[in-house]
Amino acid sequence: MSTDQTQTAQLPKEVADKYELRHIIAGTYDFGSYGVIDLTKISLSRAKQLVNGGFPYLVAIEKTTTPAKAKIAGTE
Amino acid sequence: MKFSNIVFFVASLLLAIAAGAFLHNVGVNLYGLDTVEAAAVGTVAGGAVFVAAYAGDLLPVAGLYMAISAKRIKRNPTPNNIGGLEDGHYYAFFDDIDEFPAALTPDFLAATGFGQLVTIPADDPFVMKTGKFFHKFPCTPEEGKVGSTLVGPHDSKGFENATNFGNAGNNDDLRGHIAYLANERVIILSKELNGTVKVVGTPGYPARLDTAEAANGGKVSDGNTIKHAFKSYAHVPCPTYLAPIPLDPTEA
Repeated sequence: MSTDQTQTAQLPKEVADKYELRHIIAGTYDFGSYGVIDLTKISLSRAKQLVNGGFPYLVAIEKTTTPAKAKIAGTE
Repeated sequence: MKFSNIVFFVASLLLAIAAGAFLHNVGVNLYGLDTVEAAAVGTVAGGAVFVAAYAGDLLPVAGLYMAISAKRIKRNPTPNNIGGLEDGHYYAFFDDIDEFPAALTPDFLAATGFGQLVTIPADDPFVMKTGKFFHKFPCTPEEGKVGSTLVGPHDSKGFENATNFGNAGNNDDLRGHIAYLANERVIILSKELNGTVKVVGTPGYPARLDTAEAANGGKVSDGNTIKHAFKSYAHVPCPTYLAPIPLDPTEA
């Protein structure tokens, strides 16, 4: 998908740290039953509320865990 | 059996034999296959050509080309089926749109369900050019309508998709807007009172202003109104738009 719509628009940092956008770029949209939302100004609590309500355009970022050091046979 | 069917059968058989013999010789002379291998190649190729030329023509077209199988149409699951339009709708100039939803040009051969032909899914939105958006315009309650009509002769049928709006006639901003749209190509998103959004206009046939009529009414009871309507043609009735509508943040 092209990002020509609002190339510089982004989620607020506190939201971007926990969620990422799917299918759309940050901007203002009429989301139908979710109403009109400006994703560049959305609060973290509102983002959580939307995601819990099944909002398909925000997805929680999976936390990356540091993999435990794998023991490789023959190196000890 | 008709004579033409017999001729078609014989012609298909001869074509298959010729194709098989040709590939048999190619196998022997170019690829050094032994007699059994070359015969197998020739037989398979000949069989394929025969199926394609003759049997394929007799098989049901739907079985070969249509991905949609006949299936039960369920009863409407929701009671939310009231008529009428909301009091606000969206338009965008055709040239302001960077990418159209792929589902606006439905693929009858690739679709796997009837609903896919008339639905723009949530992950298939309009993408606008930089700084361009859909914009809202009003409609007086119970003065608007969106609908589709089947048109055309057999084997060429399509849909005339149209939507019309009514507003107070003293709205100069709207009257100027209508004047500007008179020769513009647009996409209209009509919001139905039951919550669905219908698209009028496609990449191949954008919506155009079809009628516009302003009248102050002869009597007070006639009202002072301006009415305008858009029309487009498509393979399908106005599709339901489930994706987000990109808006100007300064207007939202």
